Amino acid sequence: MSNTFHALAAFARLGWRETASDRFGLLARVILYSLPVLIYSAIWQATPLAGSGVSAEEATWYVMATEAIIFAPGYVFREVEEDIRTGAIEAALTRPVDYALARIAEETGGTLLRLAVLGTYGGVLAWFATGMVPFAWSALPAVWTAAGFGALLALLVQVAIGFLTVWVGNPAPAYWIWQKLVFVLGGLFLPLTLYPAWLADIGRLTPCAAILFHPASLVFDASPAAIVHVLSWQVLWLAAAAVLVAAVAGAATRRLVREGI
Amino acid sequence: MSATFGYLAALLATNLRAAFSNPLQAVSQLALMVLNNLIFLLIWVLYFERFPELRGWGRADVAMLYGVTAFGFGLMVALAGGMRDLARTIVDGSLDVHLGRPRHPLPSLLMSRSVPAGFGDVASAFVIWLWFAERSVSDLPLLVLLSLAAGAVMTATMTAAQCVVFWWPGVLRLAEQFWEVILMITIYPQHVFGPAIRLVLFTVLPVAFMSQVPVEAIREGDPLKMLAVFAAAIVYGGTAIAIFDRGLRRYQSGNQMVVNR
Amino acid sequence: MSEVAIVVENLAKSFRTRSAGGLKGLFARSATTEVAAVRGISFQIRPGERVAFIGPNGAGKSTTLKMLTGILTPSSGHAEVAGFVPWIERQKLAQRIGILFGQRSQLWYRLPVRDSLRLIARIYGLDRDRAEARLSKLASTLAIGDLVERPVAQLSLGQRLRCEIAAALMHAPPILLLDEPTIGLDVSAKASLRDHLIELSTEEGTTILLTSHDTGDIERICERALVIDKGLLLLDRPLAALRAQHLRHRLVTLMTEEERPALDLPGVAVAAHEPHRTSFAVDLDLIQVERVVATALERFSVKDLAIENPPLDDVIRDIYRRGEAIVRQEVAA
Repeated sequence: MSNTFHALAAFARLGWRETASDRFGLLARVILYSLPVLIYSAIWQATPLAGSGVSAEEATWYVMATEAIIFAPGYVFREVEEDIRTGAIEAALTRPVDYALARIAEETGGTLLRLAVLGTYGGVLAWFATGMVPFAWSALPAVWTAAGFGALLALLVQVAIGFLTVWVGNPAPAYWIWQKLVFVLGGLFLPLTLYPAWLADIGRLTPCAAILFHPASLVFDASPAAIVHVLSWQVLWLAAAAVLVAAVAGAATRRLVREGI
Repeated sequence: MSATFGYLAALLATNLRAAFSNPLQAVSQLALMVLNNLIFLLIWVLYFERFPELRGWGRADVAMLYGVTAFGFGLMVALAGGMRDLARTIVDGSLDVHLGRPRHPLPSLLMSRSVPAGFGDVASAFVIWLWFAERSVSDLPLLVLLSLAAGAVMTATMTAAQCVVFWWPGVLRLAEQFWEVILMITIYPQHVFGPAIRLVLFTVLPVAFMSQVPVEAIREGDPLKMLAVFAAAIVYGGTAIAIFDRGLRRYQSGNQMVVNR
Repeated sequence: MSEVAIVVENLAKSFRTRSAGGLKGLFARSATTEVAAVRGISFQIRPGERVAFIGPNGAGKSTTLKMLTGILTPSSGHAEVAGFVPWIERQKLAQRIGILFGQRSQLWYRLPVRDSLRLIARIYGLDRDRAEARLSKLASTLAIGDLVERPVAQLSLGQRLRCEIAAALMHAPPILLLDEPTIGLDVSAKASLRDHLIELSTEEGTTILLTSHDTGDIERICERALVIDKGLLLLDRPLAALRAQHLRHRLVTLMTEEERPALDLPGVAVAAHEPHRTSFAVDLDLIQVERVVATALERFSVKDLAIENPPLDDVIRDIYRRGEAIVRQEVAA
């Protein structure tokens, strides 16, 4: 057990280091991330927000947070897809550490580094643009944790989607649809609080909101009660996603050892 | 001249056969792309449920803009899907294959494959124009014409940008992601930006001609703006070809390439 | 360890293939056909043996190897590797075997080799001291001491493969399985890889089973050859016997100033010819290769020459022709 844990920790460290060594990749990510943040904050500046309960400053911070969470995992499903297509998964299956766990650990390392880079960069950017920080400094660890949980949840679902390669060959269309659902039901740009009440209520219950809206909503309210609320929703959905990944990975592996690649 | 068209038509026909070699898979990808676009557009539907306008623009205007981009980009990757591989083709030396043919290499480079999902984008453009943008069928010819010109500006810009690897192969990975940058700006209204950014979008990064100006031209029924879009297609198209040819001369003078993965 | 490292009894695997893949397969009930990749093979391998598993592409080598590692479940039959049934106890077996897939990397492309090797040590539960000790031992045996600090991206294929072998051997497995380890390597890289493998197996008593479609691979590394064709075991005998009976000719190719050199020696026949490049089939029962080469050098102005083993297809045809196959040809055909 502790062996597996040490091995997974090593995978995570390696993922972090490999992401760090790819300077161009990180730079490209920062540039790509800057765009929607810039665009959305310009849109918020131009939006007649009076009476909506959301200020332009808060909205800018909100978008900075949601985009950082979306950009942090990148396209993990493609890594899984490639492992299956190239047969690299076979080599991984002959190891004493489970492939899915190893892949998740490695991607977690990379994801957390990208989140740290994008979050710090975006935070500084938003701070300069708005001249304010929407939560107390003491809430910062909780905000980071919630953002990390959101990115991790997105990562787990992507790993499950990647395993679909075994059945459908190309998992990309499934991913794009899922991603757009996250955008809409998770409130990528428009916080759920600005949605029609019925849709906001549905959205809040979905894993999409646990990825984006719940953690990003801490820019409106980072009180201890709100933090507990956000983190508990996320833990719940992380557990559900873990079950989902285990089920899909298990079924995919069973099929692989029966049918080959 | 007619030989050139015959050659291009043969290229296109071959690509389409390859893209639709598994017709059910191609068609389902196409359909999922339509769904994908419509879900994304929901964000704007929700926005305009909440806010009456965005600096004079309503839901129909933003939808029209999204449709113009979907049509231009979709047609580009459907007909000239090799666009997205251009920089890599130059750096990894597969350009030589195209140089060995008795034709200008650019068309065969761009038209080296067809992405079936692009037709999904084109199809969704019509759904969006007629439904979300509330345009009538009689508006469609003008919309198509302007979107074609917009797509030409997009193709030209992405071509020119990727040619940077002729001089600086080390930036391959950035060049490869450039189309995402362009696409990300194109799908949002640009009149929310300040004058400095707008100046950039009208010149070095001519994104304005890819969506904003065509939509303004139709909204305002302004023939000058329509002419501007067609002029931009010609000017940027010519510039892109000139830049490519300069790069090609450098390539053929035997400059050493460094592959940087 | 027990008396046998690997036992295989009547192992068989067939795949169902659909006429159309992808989404179509989800919607349409298309006809499936059974394709038999391995059709009931049996053999045993003793600890410390070096065995070549050879056959042409599509013969069932990789499928068998995958079943022996637990990546594939057989349709029928039985196997034990290091005392484990692979497809039932895959993760336990993992501690006892090392695997190298010639065309796949288990190293991280952008990171120094050492980082990957340390991670792999972790996967197998080696503590830091044992990992470092093992790493420095492998580094000297495989001559990769100066390579491990460099990112994989900067290594040549031959260098990378030696590092891949180090990765497969980090946990000192008693059994090493190599799938087409020499594919894509040039002659000198192949030779050096073979030397390192032999050194490892004699030093640590490692059992080696390698697959190849190149008869040259087996000659240096292995003591015994299993020849497989169309999913059936054709031949199982010591390499010396295989060499004596089925590798009885060589192909000598000469690049000469002369457009069409002729050699009227017994047991030498022209196998292929184009201007300035002629290949001779040399029958070793009638003449030594050395004599053929010496004669050629004496008579012609030779710019380059190559001596090759007969292609595997010829060897297999020869086995069938001599009626020595374990299975009947009509079964295989």
